[in-house]
Amino acid sequence: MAHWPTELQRVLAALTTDAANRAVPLMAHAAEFGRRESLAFITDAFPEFITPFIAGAGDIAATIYEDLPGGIDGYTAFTADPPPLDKLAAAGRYALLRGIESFIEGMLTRLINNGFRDTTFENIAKEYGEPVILEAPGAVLGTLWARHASANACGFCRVLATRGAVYHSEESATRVIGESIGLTITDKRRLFQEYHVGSMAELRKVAPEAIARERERRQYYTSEKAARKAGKHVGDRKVGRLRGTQDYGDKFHDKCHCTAIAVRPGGHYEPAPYVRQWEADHEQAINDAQEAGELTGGRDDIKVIARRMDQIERDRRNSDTSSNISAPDVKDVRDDDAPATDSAADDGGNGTGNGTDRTGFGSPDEFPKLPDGSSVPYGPSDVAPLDSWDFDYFAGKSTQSGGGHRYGSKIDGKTEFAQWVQSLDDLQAIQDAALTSPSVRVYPAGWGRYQFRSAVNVRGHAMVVHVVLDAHGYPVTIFPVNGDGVGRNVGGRREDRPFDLDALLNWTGDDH
Amino acid sequence: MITEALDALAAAGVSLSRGVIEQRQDGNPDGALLDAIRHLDEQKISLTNEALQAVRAGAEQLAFNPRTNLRTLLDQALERIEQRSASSAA
Repeated sequence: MAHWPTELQRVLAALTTDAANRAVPLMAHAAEFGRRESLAFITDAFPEFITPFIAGAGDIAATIYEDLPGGIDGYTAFTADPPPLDKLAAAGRYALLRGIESFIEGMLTRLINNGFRDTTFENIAKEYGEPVILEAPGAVLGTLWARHASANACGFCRVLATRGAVYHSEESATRVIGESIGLTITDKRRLFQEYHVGSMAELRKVAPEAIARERERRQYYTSEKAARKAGKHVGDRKVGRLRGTQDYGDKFHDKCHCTAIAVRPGGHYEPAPYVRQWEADHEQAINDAQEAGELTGGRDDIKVIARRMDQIERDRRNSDTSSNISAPDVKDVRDDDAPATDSAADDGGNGTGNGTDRTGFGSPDEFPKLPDGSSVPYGPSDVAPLDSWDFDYFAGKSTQSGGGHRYGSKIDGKTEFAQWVQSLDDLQAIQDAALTSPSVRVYPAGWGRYQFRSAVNVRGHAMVVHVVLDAHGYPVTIFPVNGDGVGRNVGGRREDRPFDLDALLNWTGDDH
Repeated sequence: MITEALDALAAAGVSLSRGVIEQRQDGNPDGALLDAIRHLDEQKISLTNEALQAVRAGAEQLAFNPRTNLRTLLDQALERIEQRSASSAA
């Protein structure tokens, strides 16, 4: 069974995917308007759209918080307020102007995961009565909360996830004490000899309790000289320095799937099994970097170490050596989109992403992939233009049903375009817009056909349009689902079908 | 004729797929009937004589650009449905 924070990541990832599936067409629709109108639209629409997702993540966090071990009797977790509307609106406008699908997805990941993190941090602050976490969560990473990263997280996230992986004592898990006091070289040598091992990684496997015992012993001053030097007394607890990466502890770059797991008073956190491997990698990365003279003691050290950890991971996979990562964990929530280590660190969670995987809204030369991952065998530019037969059908000159979807056709059950759509050029312009729209969605339609649905704005008229093409790219049909001036004939009456994006967002494309 | 054909299928107890229903509601009864016939054929469903007549009448109203092979595919599917329905009736 997967480690439960990994299951949690999956839930949050699913929530983000759902949001992205809806947000991209929303952004695409907004982009169809003029710049001013589109920004005004997204200012109103985006906060309303994204707030339920953020609140949903917060609700999940509150539920999980209460289920965590430890805690003060009677404490009831709460859901943090979502970010202010103006901030969400600004995020929406920024995403709109960037107009890049991968960027939008990354931003949504950050917003929704922050909904989870904010609720976690606010509950920690309230239950501990320790507001420091709200100001600087990174300062208490490893004591009040742990950072869970998926097994295939980027080096940056793995560096941070190794912090707080092991809570050496209840006190260290319940107090802001900075880094635990580590073992000295002498301590390690003694333990290596005692347990006949050659590294800390091996020692962790055979005698984790010995490490814990030694670390606990090291938490207190035993030397009067050392205690006096620190202004303490023998028996006083030592306070370790906050780790050098604390500035980064609360950084969650775009597309980062790391979750914040609270450690409630008296509670504990057990990291995922693969974190032990990362700890070993971390140690090796530091040693390697030190030997190579790459560490300067500055802020860039984390990037150096993260790169080293990435390299160690790659080497391990390439050589197919055994590791502590079990197969199911490797299939955890994919971080394929995680930014390169440099960019992740440079971002520092500012939401800028690294941009190296920008694909735009899709190439004009190809349609989006079908749900099964296959491709339409032709691109938008290969689609045959509408011809006179298509226009005759649209205009009601067909010998069969008497007409297509032109205004005034009055065919029962059919939608009609707005009155302005009269010529073959008008119809062609709509089809071209539909097939090249960033919002286009495509499904197979049986008998080799493909069905496309888009939100478009043609000559100032917004509409959701449905197009069907045959296996070779010849048009089969085009009709409006709804839009400005669109109507549907029902029982001899024409009912208005105003523009409604749900017809695109909720479209199943079911052909069975 | 087209909407009547869809109504006749529903009245005959044929379970129309979600996609067919969705197309009809979205204002494309032609596509809905075409896909309903395709499903009848793929699922090897037989029809009553009354439903078959309604479907045939509706299908005759469907128009396809001769650049596509949809008329051929539709006619072949209808023929198989008719044969199957006739066998069932016998």
